[in-house]
Amino acid sequence: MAIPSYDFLEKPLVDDFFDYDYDLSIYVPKVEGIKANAFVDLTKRWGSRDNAQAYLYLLAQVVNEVILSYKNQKYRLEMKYYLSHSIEARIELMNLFSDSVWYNRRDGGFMMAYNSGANLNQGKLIEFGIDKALSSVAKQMIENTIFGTRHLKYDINTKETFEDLDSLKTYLVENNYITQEESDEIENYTEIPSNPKYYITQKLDGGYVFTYLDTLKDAKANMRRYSGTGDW
Amino acid sequence: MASNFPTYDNNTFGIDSFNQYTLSAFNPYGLYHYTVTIVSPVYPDGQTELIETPTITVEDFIFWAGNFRDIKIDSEDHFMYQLVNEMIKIAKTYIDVNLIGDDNNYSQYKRLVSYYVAHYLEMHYQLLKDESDRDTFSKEKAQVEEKTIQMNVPDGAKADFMRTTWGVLFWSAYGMIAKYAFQSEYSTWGAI
Repeated sequence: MAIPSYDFLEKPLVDDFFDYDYDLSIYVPKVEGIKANAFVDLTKRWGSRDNAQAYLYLLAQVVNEVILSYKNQKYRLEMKYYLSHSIEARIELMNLFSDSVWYNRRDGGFMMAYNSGANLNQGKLIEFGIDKALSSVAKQMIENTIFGTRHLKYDINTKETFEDLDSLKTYLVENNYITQEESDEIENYTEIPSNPKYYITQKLDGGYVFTYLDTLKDAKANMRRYSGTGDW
Repeated sequence: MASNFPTYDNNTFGIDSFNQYTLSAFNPYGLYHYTVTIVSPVYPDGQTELIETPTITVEDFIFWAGNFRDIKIDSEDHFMYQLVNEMIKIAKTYIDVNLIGDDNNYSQYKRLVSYYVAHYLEMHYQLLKDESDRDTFSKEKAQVEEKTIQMNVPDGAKADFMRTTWGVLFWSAYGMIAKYAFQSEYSTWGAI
């Protein structure tokens, strides 16, 4: 997997800190997780745990949209996949949620982004915009991490590396990309039949990299909102 | 510098271009109309061995173009890794190691290959970021001049390299060499 192996989660991790909403494909912080990480007891503020959890559900949607607003629209799904399958992203999300809970205890908080008004003297509409949805500290936290980039730095597509041509050919045969007869006739990687499902390049210091180009397409088909039983 | 600046033999001289050479036909006293034969002394052709092209890795590229030291761009996980990989291969065919030489473990050659790759990588980054949303069906943002690439039709290869800082660095080091070098009977591709 092209998200580094030390950072990759097979499926979104649900524990005491986070729940995962499979309809929106986003992490939702739990009341207990916020209390442990941000030292804020939302149950006291909102009257009940259900109210507090509903507030966190709304907050999660806002934070998720602010993060996605930094990305070019083309890369939205890749970013959602990364947010759902990266350990580092998960840690940074908890930091963002903690900061947002503190921000929301001040005047208005993220609800300021929903405010609007009008200057009747000049006839101008006043909108605070998505900039006010998170604090200035949270915005800097986003810009300091991979969240703030226009394009995701990791290639989501699954990659395999091979030391030599023989091991590459064996992999292609085992995974039914080519037949054994075709493999026997290949003497150079440029002779491997082209296929829209994969891309093969030769590394500069020897070896080959096999990239499976349908990774995101398969993942999207596996999203629970589409398949009903998917794992993200 | 140990380099193989190409000459046919010791009796040739370099010119800017074929057109310039042909223009000299208007000058009746120009060398175009004469054949000069040196009777003595005549030295034998000094053919030297071709310099072997070295292996250049993405790590070498990052050494010279450190601002591209992104999150593990030298790792296959990075989105730009394969692009840099292929660009280095192209750069090694475009830049003639025999003009540069192999001194100091090919440091000058690696430097020029890195500048060449960095020049195009900088433009690829701008296109991928697509700050003005030109390459999607989304509504386009207002043009921000400092974030767009100047898309004027380049006036030859030199103007193409003038688009980025890396291109300027590359051309200042390689352009003067490539401009006057010959490969067989043709001047260096892309250098006129």
